[in-house]
Amino acid sequence: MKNRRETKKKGAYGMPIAHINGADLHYELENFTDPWTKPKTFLLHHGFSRNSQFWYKWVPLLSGQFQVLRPDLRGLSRSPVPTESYNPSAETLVGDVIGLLDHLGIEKVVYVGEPFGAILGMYTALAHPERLHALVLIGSPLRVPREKFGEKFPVREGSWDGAMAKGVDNWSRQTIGQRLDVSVAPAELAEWWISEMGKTNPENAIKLDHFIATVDTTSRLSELKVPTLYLAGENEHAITPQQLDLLRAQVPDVKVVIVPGVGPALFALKPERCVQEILTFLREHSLL
Amino acid sequence: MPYAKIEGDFEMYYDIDDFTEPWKSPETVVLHHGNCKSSRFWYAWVPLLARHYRVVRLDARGFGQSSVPPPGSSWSLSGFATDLKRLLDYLELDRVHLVGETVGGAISMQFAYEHPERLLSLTLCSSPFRFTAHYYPESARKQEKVGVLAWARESMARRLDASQVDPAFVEWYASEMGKTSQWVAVETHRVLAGNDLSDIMRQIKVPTLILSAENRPGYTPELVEEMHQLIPHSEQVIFPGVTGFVQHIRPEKCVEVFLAFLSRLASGKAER
Repeated sequence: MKNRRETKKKGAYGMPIAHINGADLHYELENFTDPWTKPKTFLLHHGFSRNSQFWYKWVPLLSGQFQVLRPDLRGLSRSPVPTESYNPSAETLVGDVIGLLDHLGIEKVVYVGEPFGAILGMYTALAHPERLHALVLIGSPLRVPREKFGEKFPVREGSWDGAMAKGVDNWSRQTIGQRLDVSVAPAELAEWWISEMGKTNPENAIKLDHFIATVDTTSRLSELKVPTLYLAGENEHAITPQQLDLLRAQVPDVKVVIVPGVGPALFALKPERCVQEILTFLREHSLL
Repeated sequence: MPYAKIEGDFEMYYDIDDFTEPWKSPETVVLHHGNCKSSRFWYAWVPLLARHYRVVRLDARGFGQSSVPPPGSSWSLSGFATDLKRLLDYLELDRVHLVGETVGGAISMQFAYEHPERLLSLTLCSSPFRFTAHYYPESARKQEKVGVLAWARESMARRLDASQVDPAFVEWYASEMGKTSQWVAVETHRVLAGNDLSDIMRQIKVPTLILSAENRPGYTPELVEEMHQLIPHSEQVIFPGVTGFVQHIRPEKCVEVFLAFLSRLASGKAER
């Protein structure tokens, strides 16, 4: 049986594209709701070196009730940008999110992000609270002490830059336990993660990683004006109990849900549970 | 979403939705709409199916966003079936599960007869097989006189029971049907009139599921039973308390029944 999946899958490279702030940014947009209604929009934002496709389990769970938007971050595999002109910063990346919403005529979204996607969501919520119904952070750190993570997940090459330069898949494979609970994930899922992450231009990945190392949202938590839901597996590496306490104490409207029996990548390993928690949260805030 | 240039100048609009595990090769379900409709009418089925199957929806020649042939073109069930085969060839899909609704089911039966080797299963939703009722020539006359939109609005009761569905749905449905080019509607309804698929149905080799509402204006449960008797390896499921086109009124229930059917087929294979 000859079924060529890669080329015929929906959302193949190049469709659709929005020209935003000087770059061609790829995104996916699905809406299987009753066509005469105006449903809310979910924006699902992937993390470092990942892409829109990582949310594939979420689309069927949400798209019958909501419009689902999955952007692909500037500089990464599906929205490639020449390294010379690639300068990731909070302003640029938040500008891309808002630019895409404006381009699509979407006023407000429920923003869901996984690690770096979540941090970007925080920056977006701080700069443009009026564009978010709610903010959902999944398994993300509040700041990214690169040296600490580097120590926890050492690589053969000695430095993460060294490992990434040999291919993001090379770095990803050596550090996979940092971002995906391999005791829970099927082997094929881990392999697919590694190979997808390997599609990212290493120089862009290094630049983005360096930017992420400068991120520290801890001093701005009290400024978050949107209802915020934090979800993580109980064995998540990215956030410490102290950071969780800070989140609970400082964010004005926040709910924290820790899911037992799982570590990193709760969004990928327990999508139904995540969606359930999000819908409950929205109902609690009369957003549904 | 894309167009496939499948014959001469004809560009067929299609959609593929696939949210299955990326490292697996899923089976494909193809959804074929009926007369004066389009791929959009299947929207409720897609999220329910696409986690388990690659879902392909097409706009048949003359409908939706596919090319519209000029007035006076020749139409036939076999022609639509051939277009479908060309799309499957274009997408390099060897064998699929084919689901057709109303006349899309008649086209699907024609396809199952002409190209059995391309099908894993056949599912018919609210599909006619004998086009002898006045409805077909009458519809063509009406469409010529008042246009497709007015004809669609007037005849909505045979499709959706207004007391059972959101009035906004009825209006959306009629207005979408109303987008069909007038000569396409008129000519295809004329061509359908008089067709009887009984003979080819007896020769359909593919496992077949027949779905119908208990109440279908213009169609009786006896006719559905007759379909079941004609098609050798078939099952019928009647949805009680539903009036009209069950595939659009109760998509979740239909998909549930459809998935159970596919699951039984799959485990049947495993036993061999």
